[in-house]
Order: sequence, then C-alpha cells, then structure tokens
Amino acid sequence: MIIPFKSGQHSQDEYVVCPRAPLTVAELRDRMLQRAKVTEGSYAYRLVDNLHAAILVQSIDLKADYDAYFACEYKSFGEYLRRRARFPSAVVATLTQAVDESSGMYHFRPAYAFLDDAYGLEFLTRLLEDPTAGEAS
Amino acid sequence: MRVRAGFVSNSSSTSFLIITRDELEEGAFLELMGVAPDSPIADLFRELFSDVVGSSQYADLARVDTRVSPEAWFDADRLSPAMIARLQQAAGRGLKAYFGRLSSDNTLVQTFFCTDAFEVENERIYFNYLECAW
Repeated sequence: MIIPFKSGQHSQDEYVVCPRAPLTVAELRDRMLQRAKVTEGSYAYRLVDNLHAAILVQSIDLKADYDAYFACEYKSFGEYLRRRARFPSAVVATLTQAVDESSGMYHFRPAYAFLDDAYGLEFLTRLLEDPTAGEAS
Repeated sequence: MRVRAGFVSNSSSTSFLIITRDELEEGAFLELMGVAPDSPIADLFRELFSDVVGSSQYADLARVDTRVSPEAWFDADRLSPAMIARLQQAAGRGLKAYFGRLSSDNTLVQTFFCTDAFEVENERIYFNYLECAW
C-alpha cells in the first residue's frame, strides 16, 4: 500500500510506503529491479536501485521508529503520527488501520521531480507492488 | 559586493550529445538506457527520448566541414572538450549526431533529468549528458 499526501498546499507529494509481505529490504530491492525490467549496470538499473535506497533505506520507517524510540512518549502509534509526524488526520486513520498488516511504514519525501501527482503514485505503485490478477493479464 | 535586483532563477539546463550509427530510434534508445520496452517505467524514458529528439539539432557527420570547429556544425556557442573530441573522432565515419539542450522549466521529466548527469554508450549509440548548468 502506498499513501500519497501533501504536507502543505504547495508542497511536493510525500508518500508512506507500506510493504505488506514480511520481506527484507534486500528482497524488496530484488523485486523492484525485477519488476522494472532493467539491465544490470545500466542507467535505468541505477535509477531504480537509487530509488529503492531512497525509499527503503534512507527514509524513516515510522513503525520501527515508534516502537524503538517513541512508544513511551506517545501512548499510541496514531498519537505519534498526529503529534510528532504531524500527518493529516485521514493519513493517520489509514496508517493506524494498516499497521498490523505492514512490515514497515516508510515516510518517503522524494527528491525526484517526476514523482508528483497522479503520475508519481502510479510510477511508485508499478515499481513497488505486484499487479493484481486483472492488471497482469 | 554585487547586488542583483529582480528574479533569481533556480532553473537548470543540460546540453547533450548523441552520436549514432543509424537514425536515432526509440527501441535502440531504450536499450541504451537499459530498460525493456514492456518495463513499467519505460514511459519515463520514452518521454526523455521524445524530448531529446524534439529539442536537438541533427548533423550527418559524413557531410560536415571538418576544417571548422564542431560548434559550427550545430550553431552552438560552446561544446565541452569531451564532446568536441568525440565529434572530431566520429566525423567522416558515416555516423550521425544530435546536439541539444533540455531545460528544467519544461516538464517534470526534464526537471528530473536536469538534476542528473551521465554518459552511457553501447556499440550503436554514444550519449553524453554531462553538461549540466545550474
């Protein structure tokens, strides 16, 4: 699941990326590269590899961050999202509902200009999520 | 101290040079960039290809005047030393060249590629995308 939102009226889109399966970051990287159908060592390969690192290595995993550092300070994950991360209430509601099904919740603030609006979400979805049965056929 | 009044532009542009054996085609370009035609991210590179073709000047290197600097072949103010060396090497060998500039002011795809710099090459195409100016 990928949740897009804007923190301000004129801000670029931010995303919370929530992988469902209990996969390691290395396994998620392999899946991204496979889905992207890029040739190893090429420009496109480096682009996808860097994007993987930006999302799943350099971005904060909110779920792990809460469990490790903030569970004492905030009585619930939702409160942590609301008060510390200052997420919009609709995003907080979606994330608190999905927290048990997600192996991580990565707050990704892209430095890639094209990852904005509907195209940005579609691009990330194609790279990060397996197509549903209908889309694959 | 110099004081500038008015707008300060944060835009950037990148000059590029492509040297090819054949006419530049989308399939060969995607192969050079390392992305399969049915890749879910191929559209990003298709748009780059379209922008590159749409904003470039073409020169048939079999017909250029090798007595003048390659800048004159493209009506360009300045080419990098690496570009000049490549063009001089390729002149007279029946190759084709495309020189142009992408600007971060145009589209989000161009904005992204104007923040990057790369040089890629295979047996059919050489693509110099190193000349980024902020």
